[in-house]
Amino acid sequence: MAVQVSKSGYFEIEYAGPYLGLDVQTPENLLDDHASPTTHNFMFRNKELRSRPVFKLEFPAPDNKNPPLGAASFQDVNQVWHTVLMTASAAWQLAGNNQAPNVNPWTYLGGPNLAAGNPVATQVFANILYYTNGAPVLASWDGLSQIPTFANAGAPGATSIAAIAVADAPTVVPGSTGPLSIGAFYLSELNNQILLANVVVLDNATGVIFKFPQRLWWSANGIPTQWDPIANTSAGFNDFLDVPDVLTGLMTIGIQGYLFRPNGITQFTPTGRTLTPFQFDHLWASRHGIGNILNWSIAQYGASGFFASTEQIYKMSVNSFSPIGGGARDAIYADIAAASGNPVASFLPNLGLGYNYPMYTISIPLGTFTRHYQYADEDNNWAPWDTVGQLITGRAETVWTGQLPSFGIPGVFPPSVSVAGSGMSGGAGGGSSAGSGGGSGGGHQLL
Amino acid sequence: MGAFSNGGISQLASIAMMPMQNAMTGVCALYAFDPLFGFNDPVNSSSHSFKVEEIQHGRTPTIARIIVTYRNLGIVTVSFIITGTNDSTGDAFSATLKATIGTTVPTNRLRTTMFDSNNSQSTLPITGQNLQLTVRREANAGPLSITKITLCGRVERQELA
Repeated sequence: MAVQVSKSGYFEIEYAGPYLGLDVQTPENLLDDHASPTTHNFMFRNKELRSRPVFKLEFPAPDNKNPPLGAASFQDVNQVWHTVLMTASAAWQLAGNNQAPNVNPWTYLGGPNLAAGNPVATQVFANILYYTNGAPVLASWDGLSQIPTFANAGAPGATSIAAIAVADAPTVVPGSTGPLSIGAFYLSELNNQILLANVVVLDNATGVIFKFPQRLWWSANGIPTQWDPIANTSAGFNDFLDVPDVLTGLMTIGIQGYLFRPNGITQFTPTGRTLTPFQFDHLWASRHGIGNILNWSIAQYGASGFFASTEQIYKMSVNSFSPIGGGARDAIYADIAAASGNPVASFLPNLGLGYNYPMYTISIPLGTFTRHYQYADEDNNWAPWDTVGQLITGRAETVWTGQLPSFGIPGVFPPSVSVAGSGMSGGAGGGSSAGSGGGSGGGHQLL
Repeated sequence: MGAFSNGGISQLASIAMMPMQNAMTGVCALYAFDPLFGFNDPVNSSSHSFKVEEIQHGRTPTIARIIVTYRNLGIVTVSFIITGTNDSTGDAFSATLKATIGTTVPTNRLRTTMFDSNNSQSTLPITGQNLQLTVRREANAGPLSITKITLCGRVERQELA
């Protein structure tokens, strides 16, 4: 908006929210008043221009030789919650108590070796956490046993829940001896069937690895331990040999599933039939088109999914796509091109219990730091946040942490953190000074 | 009765946990952008630039005053930097107003402060073309939350030849 100038030449320029965030695609003098050509470690929540929250070390990792690849919380059959962390060597559980500064809070669970460097994919089904990450193994933990499960009683000798017995192996995977251990890069669930996409199979007898980067493999309906289509016809797989590229992600929205390739998306829908449980439709079968180019850029929240295509970042719902890169797109893709490791994405509805800020985040490791492009889903703006000295190694995930070491302890927080009930919502009486209105008994106000 | 659970965790708190590895030492840890610990990141600075202002295209403006309304989250040192270009030489230059605002005890209330050439750490006024405001907060300089900024000034009035 043009600045109003009085007859005397006097002018005022006002800057206020709501902000439009980063825009590097408009000349600086033609920008909207609410946009920014460069912004760094600020956030625009609630129409304020605020320095972003502290980037805090919450827990040490259990194993410095094997960086953490991802975490997840799930509820077991006893309605007890668990927070689990996966590394390439093992799974670990966050201790519910005895969390103290500088003390390892992780309890060793064990489990199979995963692929080093690949963010882990998780799926909860019937109170059991399943996980894989590109190694030929699908493991699970029920929250009850001492160690995760990565074997299959129906396929002795296999080292994965998803397995094929010796008798059927040569038929299911021609050229193999069996037993076969099945894993994948991507994991999901639809129609009570566990789904593995971009499949990796280990022939345990020979040690040969079979890669099926165009394959979707599904378990039997309601039986996540049955993957053999000969033993149970509702299990099976489909190779998408009619497309020129490989699967780069998987998402389910409602009753629909979506398989992503760099140049396309394939929608699949449960049919209700056992032999052909899914109908597949390429949304477009062109050689080049909208797809997902980053292996771990897909994130989802409710009916909304997010992914990075060749030319744009999209938010999708059932049968609709909206470009969301806006004026920040060029900056994001320039950093993706310069990434020193795997960019990963996540959708986080809040930054902590009680501090809602729904954001789709693309985190890009850049040699000595990680740049997190934060897309505020409600406000439709992008804000880059950097974390100096730290490189991301897996997807961010909202997890239960029990009682944090310093949570709710008066005096631990510096007075400037706006906790302890001093918020505006506390009214004039409670807002006069920090600590006077809330205390530690649940009166925290996060503004 | 079924089997007992192995461990478990309460739902007292949750965070958006990010697995990270130190780029220099290789030490791994779980981090979070944690609003419970406020908005004064001790390691990372913050900066935000606004659009380049023309005021009246081709006329040279002077900015002499900055009015800032902010939420008092505590003491923070902030720099308001106005950059511009010299009309005839094209050289870039800047004026900086460094200010410490807020109170030791945060109130979370809005406060308004005016800055001009009388401010001890100000190099205002600034005259030039293509003026652009940048707000900068150094690492560990305090939590900053601005709700409104107003730049006040005058633009030359003579007609262009």
